[in-house]
Amino acid sequence: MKKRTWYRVFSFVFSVLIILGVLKLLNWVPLAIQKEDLRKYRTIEEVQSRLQLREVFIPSYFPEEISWPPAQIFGQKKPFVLVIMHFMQTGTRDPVLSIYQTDVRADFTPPFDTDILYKKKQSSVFIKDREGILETAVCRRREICNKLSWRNEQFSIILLSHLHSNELLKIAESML
Amino acid sequence: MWLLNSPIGSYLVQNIIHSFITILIIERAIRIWDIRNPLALFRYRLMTLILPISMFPLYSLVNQHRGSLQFREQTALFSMNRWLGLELWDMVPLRLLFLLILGSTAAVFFMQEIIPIVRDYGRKDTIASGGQQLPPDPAIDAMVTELSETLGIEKPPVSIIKDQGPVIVTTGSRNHSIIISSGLLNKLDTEQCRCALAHELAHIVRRSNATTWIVFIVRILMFFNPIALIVFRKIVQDDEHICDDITISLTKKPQVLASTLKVFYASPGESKQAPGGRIRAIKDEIWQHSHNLLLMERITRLEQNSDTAHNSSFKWGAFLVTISVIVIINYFVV
Repeated sequence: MKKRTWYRVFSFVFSVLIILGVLKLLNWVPLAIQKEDLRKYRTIEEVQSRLQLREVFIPSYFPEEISWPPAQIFGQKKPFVLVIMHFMQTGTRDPVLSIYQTDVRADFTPPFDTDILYKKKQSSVFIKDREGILETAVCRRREICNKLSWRNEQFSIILLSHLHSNELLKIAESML
Repeated sequence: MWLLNSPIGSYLVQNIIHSFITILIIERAIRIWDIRNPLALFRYRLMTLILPISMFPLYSLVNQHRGSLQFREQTALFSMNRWLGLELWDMVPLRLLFLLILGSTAAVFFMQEIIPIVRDYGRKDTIASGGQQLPPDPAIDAMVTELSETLGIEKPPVSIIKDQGPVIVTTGSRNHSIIISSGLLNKLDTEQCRCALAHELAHIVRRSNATTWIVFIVRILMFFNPIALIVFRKIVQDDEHICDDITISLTKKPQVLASTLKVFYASPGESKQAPGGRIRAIKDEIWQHSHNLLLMERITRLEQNSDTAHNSSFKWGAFLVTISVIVIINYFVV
C-alpha cells in the first residue's frame, strides 16, 4: 500500500478510537454525577455502604453447585431501591441463581418474565412465617425455571433459578 | 414517561444516538478517504438515514437480550438510559428534555418540510395542468432532442407556460416532462437555457424524482430525528451536485451553469407577495434564505470548478469498512 493510503487507514482507526473513548467517557459521566443510579458493585458490603441500605437479604444456605460470592452485583437507590445479585455455577460462568431486592412500592419486573415460554404452575408457599408465591415455568432453551417471591413491609424479594423448587425454598428460608 | 421505557421508546432513543454516531463516522470517513465525487457522497450520506432505521430491529434479531440490564451495564459501550435517568437540580428529569427535542424536531419537520413539499407538489400539479400554456418553441425542442440523444434517453415533452417567475421543473417519476416559464426563458441566453435543460434532463436520467421520494419516505419515518433533518438536505444537495456534474459533462461550461443558477438566486420569488400575514412572510423568508444558501454553495462549487471533475471510481472497500465499523459500534450503543 502507498504511504498515503496507510496514513488514511491510520487516521480512520484513530478517529474510531477517539469515538470509542468519548462514548466510554459519556457512559461514565452520569455515574459520576448521580451516585445513586444503577451501577455495578464489587461486594455486598460496598453496595450496602454506598447506597446506605440498612438491610440486604443474603442467603446463608447455598447448594454446592452455587459459587459464593455473587459474580455480579448491581444496585441503585433512585428512582427506587434495587439490589441485584447473580450467582454462577461452581466451576463455570453459567448464571444459576438471581436475587432481586426491590422497594415494595416499585413497579419492577425482573427479566425472568420475558424469558418465560409458558407457565406450568403457580402455588402459594410459606417461607418460614411469610407467605410467598412459587411459579414454575418453561423458559428459553426449554429449561424448567422457578421464580419465588415474597415481600415484607419494605422490600419485595424475588429469586429466579433453574434449581429445583425445594432448593430454592431452602435458599429463601436461609435469607430470613 | 412510559414511552421511553417501551420498545418503541428504546427504538426512538437508539435511532437518534445511532444516527449521531453514524453521521460522525461517515463525515469523518468522507474527509479521510477524500471523497469528493457527489455520487459517492450521496451513497455514504444515504447510509446515515438507512442504517439507523434498520439497525435496531436487526440487532434485536441477533440478540434478544440486547436491551437487558445485564447487556446495558456489562457489555454496552454506552447506555442512554444512564443519561435519561438523570435529574437536573434533582427536579427536572433529563428524559423530559429529550422528549422536548423529539417534539420540536417533529414540529420543525412538519413546518419546514411537509408543508413546503405539499405546497410545491400542488404547485407542480397546477403548473402541469392548469398553467396558461404557450406554443412550443422549436429552438428549445431541438435543444432537448439533441441533449436527450447524447444522454441516451427518450426526449421528454417540454411545455412553456406563461409565468413571470423563473420556473423550471421536471414532473413525473416514470413519464417525465419539463415545464419552463416564459419569465425564465426571457432571462436566459441560449447557452444558459441549454444548461438549465441539461440539468433537468440529468434529473430524469438519475430518476431523481423517484429517488427523492424514496429518501423522503425514510425521512418521514424519522420525523423525530434531528440528525435526519440535516442529512436529508445534504442528500438532496448531493443529488443536485450529481446533476450539475452531468450538465457540465454535456455542456463543458461550468461558468455558464453557475450564471444560470444566479438567475434563481437573484429572484426574490413569491414569498414577499405571499398572503397569510407576518408569520407566513417570516417563514417564507427563512425558506428563501436557506434555498439561496444551497444555491450559493452550488454556484461557488461551479465557479471554483472544485470537485466537479472528480470522477474517480467508487471505493467499495473503504465504503464497506466504514459501514461495518458503524454497525459494530452501534451494536454496543443502547
